[in-house]
Amino acid sequence: MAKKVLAIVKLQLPAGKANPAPPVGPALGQHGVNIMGFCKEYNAKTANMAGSIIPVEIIIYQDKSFTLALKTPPATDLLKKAARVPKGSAVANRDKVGKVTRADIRSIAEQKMVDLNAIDLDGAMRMIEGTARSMGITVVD
Amino acid sequence: MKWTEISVECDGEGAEAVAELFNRFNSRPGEADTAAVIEVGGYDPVGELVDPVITVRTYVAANGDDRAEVVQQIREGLWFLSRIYPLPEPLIRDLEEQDWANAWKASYAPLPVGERLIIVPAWLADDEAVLEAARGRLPVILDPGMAFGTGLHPSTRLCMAALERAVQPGDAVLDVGCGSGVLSIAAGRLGAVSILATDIDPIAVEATVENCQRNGLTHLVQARAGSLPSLDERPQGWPVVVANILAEVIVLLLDEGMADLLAADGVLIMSGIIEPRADDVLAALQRHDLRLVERVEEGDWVALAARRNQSS
Repeated sequence: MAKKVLAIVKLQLPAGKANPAPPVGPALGQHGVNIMGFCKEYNAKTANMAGSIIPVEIIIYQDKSFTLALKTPPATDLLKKAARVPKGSAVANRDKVGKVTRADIRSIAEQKMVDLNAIDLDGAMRMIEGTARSMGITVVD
Repeated sequence: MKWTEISVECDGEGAEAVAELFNRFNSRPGEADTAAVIEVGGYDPVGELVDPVITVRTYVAANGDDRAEVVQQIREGLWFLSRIYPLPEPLIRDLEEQDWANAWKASYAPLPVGERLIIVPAWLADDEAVLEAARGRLPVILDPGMAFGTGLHPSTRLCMAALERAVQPGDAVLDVGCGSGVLSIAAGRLGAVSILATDIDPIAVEATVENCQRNGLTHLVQARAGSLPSLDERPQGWPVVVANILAEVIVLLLDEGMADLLAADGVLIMSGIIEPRADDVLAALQRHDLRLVERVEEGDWVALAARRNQSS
């Protein structure tokens, strides 16, 4: 059967914990997507990543069937984990909330590489460093 | 619980900034960056993105008096954002409490198709009133999910109606691109006794197997991953071959020898064809020595049936 796209919905959800409450319910329900079917699929695919926020892209077809593609966790989420801080700084240039090492940046950049539009790892690392700075997380050697 | 939906239509660049704003003010504790939903719409009937419309949404829960405050923070944030980046006014509306897990099912009701078939959503299959209404028609029980083919698309309905006319009791049927298995099940209900269903998507194969179980037809349908089978499997060919895919793919399959899989007096049913592409398929039919015997349309969609030229 032909797959004709109706819409693409992008969400970020806690791994293994998708449920029909908003945002999932209304975001998918308005297109007639099988919400429980989506939650089951997402939770099964992310069960082993508990504790992370895993973005997902849901392609909804005209007959209301769908496919989903998982993305890597947001850089901010990975940085907060590496720096062991609950959230970024509200005033990033003044209040520093934590530190990460260059090795942390490298490993995050390696993980995010597939979803970043960087040509090489150095470029990806610079993007992650920029994100770290914007959250008040200092990079140390 | 009541929810307030805030949505903003913008372009791709604006969407990131708006999503960040929603995530900052409206994520649940311990679930940072989970508040925003980005939706890309504006697809034409063939699923091509012609006029992208990006909508960013968030849903604010009513927890005590927080709601008004969060909505206000977001409104202010959007206003500041609109000073540096042009944004339309946000749309703000209250959503009534709903059972989200079931509300989507409202889109599905038993759907009579063609002269003899009716598609019944799996969760209604035991409902007395539904069974009464469906009486006299052959039920195709489906649980719509990841695999394509819920019967809500004209191309599926056209195909099912064509199968009604083509399938004779005792026939063997080949379903290329089976999706949810809807056509294989319809063929089984119409009297086909041996159905081979293939799909290059393993999720579709799984869905076909599950839906066949729901209909008690597993003994008739063999589902497997792949495209066209080999003629060695059935040297005399299939009396009915059905391909509900896309015009481009049907042309490709014809060029890969789909016509050779047809029995001498067999019929090939093709659907999923958007009207402007129908000529491409007709040209391919001619190239492969097939003649058109039927053309039906619904909306922009066309289904074709063809037979071998040498048969009468």
